[in-house]
Amino acid sequence: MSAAKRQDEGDLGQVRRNYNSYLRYTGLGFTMIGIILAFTFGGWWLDKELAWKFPLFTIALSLLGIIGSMVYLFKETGRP
Amino acid sequence: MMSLKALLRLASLLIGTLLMGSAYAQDEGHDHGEIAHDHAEEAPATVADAHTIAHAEQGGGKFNAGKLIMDHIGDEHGWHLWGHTTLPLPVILFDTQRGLQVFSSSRFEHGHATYEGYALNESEVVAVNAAGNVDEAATANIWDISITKNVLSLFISLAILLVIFISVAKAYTRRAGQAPTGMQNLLEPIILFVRDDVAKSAIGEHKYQKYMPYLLTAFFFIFLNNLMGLVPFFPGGANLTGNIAVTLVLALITFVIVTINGNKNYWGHILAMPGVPKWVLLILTPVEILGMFLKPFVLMIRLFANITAGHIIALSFFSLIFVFGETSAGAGYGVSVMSLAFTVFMTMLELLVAFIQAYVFTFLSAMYIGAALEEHHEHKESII
Repeated sequence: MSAAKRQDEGDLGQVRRNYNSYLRYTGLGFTMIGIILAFTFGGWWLDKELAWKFPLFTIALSLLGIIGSMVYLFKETGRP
Repeated sequence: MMSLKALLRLASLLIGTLLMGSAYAQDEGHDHGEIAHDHAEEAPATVADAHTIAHAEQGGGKFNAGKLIMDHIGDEHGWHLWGHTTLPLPVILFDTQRGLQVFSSSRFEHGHATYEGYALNESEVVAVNAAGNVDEAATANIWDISITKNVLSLFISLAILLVIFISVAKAYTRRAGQAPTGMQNLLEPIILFVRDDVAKSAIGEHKYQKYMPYLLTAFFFIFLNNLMGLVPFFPGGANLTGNIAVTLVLALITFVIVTINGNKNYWGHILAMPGVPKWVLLILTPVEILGMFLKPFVLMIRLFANITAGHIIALSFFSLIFVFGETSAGAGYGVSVMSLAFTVFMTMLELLVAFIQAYVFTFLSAMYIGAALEEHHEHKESII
């Protein structure tokens, strides 16, 4: 196999990998929504069980869920 | 191209949601009407009665597009072939009180009749008492393991896959070293595509072979069933890959494979991401554990939503003909031209979607498997 041909195949492989790497992000939105919903639901459940006057955990955990989904977004897209 | 597809998807989902919304609104109205009726005349409506009322309404010229669409994308006992011809299918019930019950779905006479204390209600088998009312407590005892339309469709596609692949495998052994012929010619590029572009690129050159059987099976199973769903007559048209139970099982298999094969590096990244400050781990670890379950969950939803949306939009276009036809026959004929043109266009697009969704499911499964097998920092080196 000549060096030039190998170079060509390398470029093609690179293109394929780049194209495929977009697919990794197709589920990202749903996953982020899922994280926020799961945290919020956890907070809602805690509030229901504890029956405090102020729905502290619903608010705190839903905000934490948003932060978590952002962290997840950075972690997933920051990967080489 | 992608943005056009996304727009069409959105439009189809919107139409579908609107139609479904109107269907539920109408159902609700119907139910309330029924209850009022019961109280007034002291005559409890039976399942068969409700069905007769529905028929009378249809006879009275009221076309319910939402119900038509939901019936078509759902599952049913018996396979409607054409006109008033329906292929009866076996109803198999495991009743915790009465034991195993097996009989033909034709006993229900399309939901008009009750048989040995069972009846059809919205294409679900329910237990009824002597007066013909739904017996909620007895219904809870029924485990419905019938050969329904979707199950029969599954058997048919399994038979097709087995016949095709056994004959192709035989051809490879018989004609070893020779050029491929016939069906081999058709399938070899697709098999090589799954091997090179899916398995090798997502899992890696060294470990992909162990997962090829699953990836190929998943790809061809989804692809064939997507295509069968586009065929509008008998062996096709069952919306199998648009059934959430089917996509659930497929996604569950991927989840199990990933979880069983996950190495130390994979679990390390989930439980305690290396190179991250301790306080961030407090958020990141729960998020990663959630992500472990959400990824297969999204796989399930994606396939289900895409295929169901395709079926809904085709049926919506056809329903438009009858919706307009109710106002005047001329409008119906006029709209049918546009409807047909759009349906042909959408079906062309669905042919593409059938392949893309099979590819995306297989590729993402392979990617999750690849992530579970990834050795430390292997992904950083470039392979040339």
